[in-house]
Amino acid sequence: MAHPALTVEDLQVSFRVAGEEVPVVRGVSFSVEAGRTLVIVGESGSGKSVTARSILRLHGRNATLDGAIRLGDTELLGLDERRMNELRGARVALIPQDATGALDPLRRVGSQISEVLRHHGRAPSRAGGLAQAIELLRRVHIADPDRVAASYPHQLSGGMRQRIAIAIAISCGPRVLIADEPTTALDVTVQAQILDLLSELQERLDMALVMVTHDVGVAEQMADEVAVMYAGRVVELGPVDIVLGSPAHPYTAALLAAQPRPDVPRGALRPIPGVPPLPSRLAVGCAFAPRCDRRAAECDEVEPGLERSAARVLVACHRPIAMERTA
Amino acid sequence: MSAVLEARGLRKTFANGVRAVDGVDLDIHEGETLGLVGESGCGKSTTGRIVLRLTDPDAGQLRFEGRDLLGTRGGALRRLRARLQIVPQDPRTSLNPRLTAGEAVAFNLRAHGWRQPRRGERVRELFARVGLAPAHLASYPHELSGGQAQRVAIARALATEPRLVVCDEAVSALDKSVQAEVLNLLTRIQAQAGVSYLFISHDLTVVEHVADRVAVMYLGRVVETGPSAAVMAEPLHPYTQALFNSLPGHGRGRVHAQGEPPSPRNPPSGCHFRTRCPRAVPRCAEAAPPLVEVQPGHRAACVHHPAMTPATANGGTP
Repeated sequence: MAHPALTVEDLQVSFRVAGEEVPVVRGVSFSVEAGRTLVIVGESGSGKSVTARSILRLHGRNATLDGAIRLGDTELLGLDERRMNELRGARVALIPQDATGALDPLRRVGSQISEVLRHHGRAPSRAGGLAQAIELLRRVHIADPDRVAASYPHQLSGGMRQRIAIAIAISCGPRVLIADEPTTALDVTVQAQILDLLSELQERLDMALVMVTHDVGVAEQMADEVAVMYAGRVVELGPVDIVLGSPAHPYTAALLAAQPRPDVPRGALRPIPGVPPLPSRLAVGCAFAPRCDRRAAECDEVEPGLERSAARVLVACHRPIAMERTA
Repeated sequence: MSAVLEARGLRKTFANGVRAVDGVDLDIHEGETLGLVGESGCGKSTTGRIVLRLTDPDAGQLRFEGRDLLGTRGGALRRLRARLQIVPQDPRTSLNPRLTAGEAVAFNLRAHGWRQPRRGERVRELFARVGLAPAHLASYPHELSGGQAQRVAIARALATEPRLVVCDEAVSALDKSVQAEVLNLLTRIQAQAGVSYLFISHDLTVVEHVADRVAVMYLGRVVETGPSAAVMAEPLHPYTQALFNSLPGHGRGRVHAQGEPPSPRNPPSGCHFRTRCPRAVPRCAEAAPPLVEVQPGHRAACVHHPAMTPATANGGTP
């Protein structure tokens, strides 16, 4: 069998802060096939964005990465910066959360897109690059691509800027697309359009998509597979309908139970007690144990590894919720 | 049920030409939560600021506990503000970084004439009420989690026994697991103190959960209002329908609103939503449709509604 489009194995990321190594991602593994979507769900500080950005090696010098990240059969972690620069944008591309911050405010949109094409040798001339840029704008359903190509970012709406960021991301035909909270800054009606666009492009271009979100609804809509992250680790990984339909990890279950829903009586939402641990002060044992309602003695002693629970689902828990309990 | 707040015909155009609020009527009854929902730039926060007398409207009337709020000034307004409070979006920027949590709450009490030692007792009592440990009295905002800081903001708002609290995106910055905790707290306080909330949010699922009635705003106008359950079960305005269809997880490829909201400096003629509406007809450009009562308490401003006849077209009040 061919290699998956993206494989991440035992990824460890730590940052040196004030002379101390702070572990932020602690042994994350997953793989994504072409045409499939993995959504990483988690709350603030869970390590989901750091994981996604590690794939493009976008961290500062204070970061240490360990493990393996492979695009097809190319191992990324050993590559020098020059090789990495060739791959970024060409074989793996990023759609950022804040397109406004990602675009250069002083340059017209068309020239920003053609710069990427020219950097990767996809456009021989300036004029040719601009023509391709306009074609790309059309592919992300911008109705008047000529006007938009000649505009500066501040002249465009947030939704339009996010479409441009997507156009840049797909410009060189990457096999893997990383989308870091791509719709969090957008209004809900615009978010719906952008999510539809991502699904459409992914299908048409047969890319592997890794999407990071805090929004369970977005995960439900977009994912083939879901990885739920907590305190730097994947605690549950599997097909979206199983993981979000009958979660096995108590954290996944608690996260779902905390969502405001019309059928939950007012005042009866189920918050998760306590707060997540600071990455610099992790205790032994399961990181979720202090907040977990299924905690047992072993949970405080040994951190559980990801193990197969139900069909096709991996769970890192000593006392996972059995299928029948949630049915 | 008497109205704590009555707003009629509120209008506000800013100096830059943005028509933020374009004829808004609202009623908020005692002990109820009115959810004000809409996307960026729809005027929901400006409406909240007008209600709090932080922004002066260009036109309209505002009655709070039966008194004319817009005509109240100076010391009288300051005294009245004890009964009209806010819980802002981001407590870590709205709390003074140089005051401890206890001092922040005491500050509001002192402004309304509370003296020691009663003030200190009151602060401790408020901390207990919002579920903060006494140890946090001495914590600075940066030492608190988002949820704890929002509890401080709630304690500060509750300090002077308000009748109406404007919650402006009060849980939007919080993770869901913490958001649930704050929503439960707001609900519990309402049950105990009978306070009313104007709950402003862009998040439909939160508003659905927390509000008795909702008002949906689009480009400065209320386009639909009614009991939460009714609006949710049968949204009448095409914009409200588009909002619900846009909720992620409601399935791929549903019909969405087209494009993005136009500039509030230059909104379309007639119905502001017509440029994005899948059901727009030429008539929509002619005049702004009034809010018409379709079912008891449930009103919508759309020419397509069968109840939309000249006889009933006097509008209504959310």
